[in-house]
Amino acid sequence: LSTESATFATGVARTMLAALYGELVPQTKSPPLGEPSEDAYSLFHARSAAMGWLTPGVEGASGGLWGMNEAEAVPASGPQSRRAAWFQVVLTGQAPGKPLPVQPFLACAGDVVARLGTLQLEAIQLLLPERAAPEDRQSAPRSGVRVTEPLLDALNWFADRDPGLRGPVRVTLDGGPDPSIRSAAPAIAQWVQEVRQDVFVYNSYSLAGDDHLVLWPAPLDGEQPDLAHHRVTFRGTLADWSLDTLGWLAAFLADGSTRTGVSMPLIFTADQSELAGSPAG
Amino acid sequence: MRRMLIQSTRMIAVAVVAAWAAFLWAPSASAAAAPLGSGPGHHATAQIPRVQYPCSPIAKGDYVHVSSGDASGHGWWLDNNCNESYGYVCITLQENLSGTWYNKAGPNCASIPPGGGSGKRVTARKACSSTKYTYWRSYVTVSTSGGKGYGSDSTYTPEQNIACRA
Repeated sequence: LSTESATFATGVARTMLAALYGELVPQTKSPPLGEPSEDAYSLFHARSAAMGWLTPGVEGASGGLWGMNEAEAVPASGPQSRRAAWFQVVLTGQAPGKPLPVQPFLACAGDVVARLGTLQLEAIQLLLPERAAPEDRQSAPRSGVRVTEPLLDALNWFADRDPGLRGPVRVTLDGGPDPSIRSAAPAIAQWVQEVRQDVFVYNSYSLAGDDHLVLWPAPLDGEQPDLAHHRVTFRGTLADWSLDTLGWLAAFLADGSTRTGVSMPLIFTADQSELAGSPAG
Repeated sequence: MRRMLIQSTRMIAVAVVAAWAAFLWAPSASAAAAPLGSGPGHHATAQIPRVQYPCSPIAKGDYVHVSSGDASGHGWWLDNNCNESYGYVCITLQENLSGTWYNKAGPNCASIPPGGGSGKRVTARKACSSTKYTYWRSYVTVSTSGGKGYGSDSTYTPEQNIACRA
């Protein structure tokens, strides 16, 4: 059997998922013939193809970053229905030495949601698939490299932002049944502070259950609703609350997790809530 | 005499043109009876060329994946040069056991418009009996045989090792 394209290392399909929480207000202008002809699935597929990020769903396909799985948008139907849209792909690119393509993934998701309506993003949930060991660990092309380089290259994109856009962010990393994320938390926190960047300015981490951000449904649970969840929550400030910045942050923390020995799939959740008692802003 | 000759020639020319036009642009009675291409996109008063031409529709599918405890895949089609309102799309899910591919769901078929948009996809699902990693793929076919272009295509989607054993 072929293990090419949509697989890595173990040959297992590497699923990446993004769920956007908040209120999605559909466009008020109806299409001329009533029901829209496109939906989140077809728009995401089309946008991925247009940007060169889609690997076609045919045998032997090459190029692109992901193959299409699912997508759905659910316009606001009540206060309980907060998952406004979700997108699922399988990664097809070979990962060593490259960050997870979360930033383009969320850019594509954001483009689709913007086509469908207006989303007030309240929280985000990402399933980050297993990651490869960093290239510099294996072949050490440059000693001392602490971050996957494309993540450093991308920092200029976030420079010169309006400081007024900075705000608090809470990020929970959930390793599911793998407890290693908890033991790695201090090392991840240290790593974040050692890397010179100001997209995410670290403040604290917590292993306490009350601090975690848990969004449902949990993508790792599948048919195992009683699955154990080992979590750690980081707090800090983010350059701005946007899918673009969150995409970089997710790839950054995934990179740090891998470098501290956590390579299993992670659920990344984030919102803007502040630590109780901390000053606003 | 000369005037009569000219008049006869004109009448013959008109008759020939009318017959040719009737041949090329006959009302779509025959197309309406066809099994495909007779969906709501066709208007009763539309005039469709009776002469069909070969065309190349494109079968499309996504990567088989786990969705709500099922192996799941979608199929759709692209019109390319067919100019057909509907194509007949089928999708079959296949699971690989001991090196052999077995059909596990489908073929699920539907006559759908091209493009893959809302309501323009066919889905096949098979419940997983365990989360044991297993290779899956889908086989998608499309055929058009409406009033305009006729053609067909098929494709296998990439093999996926997913946490689903049916």
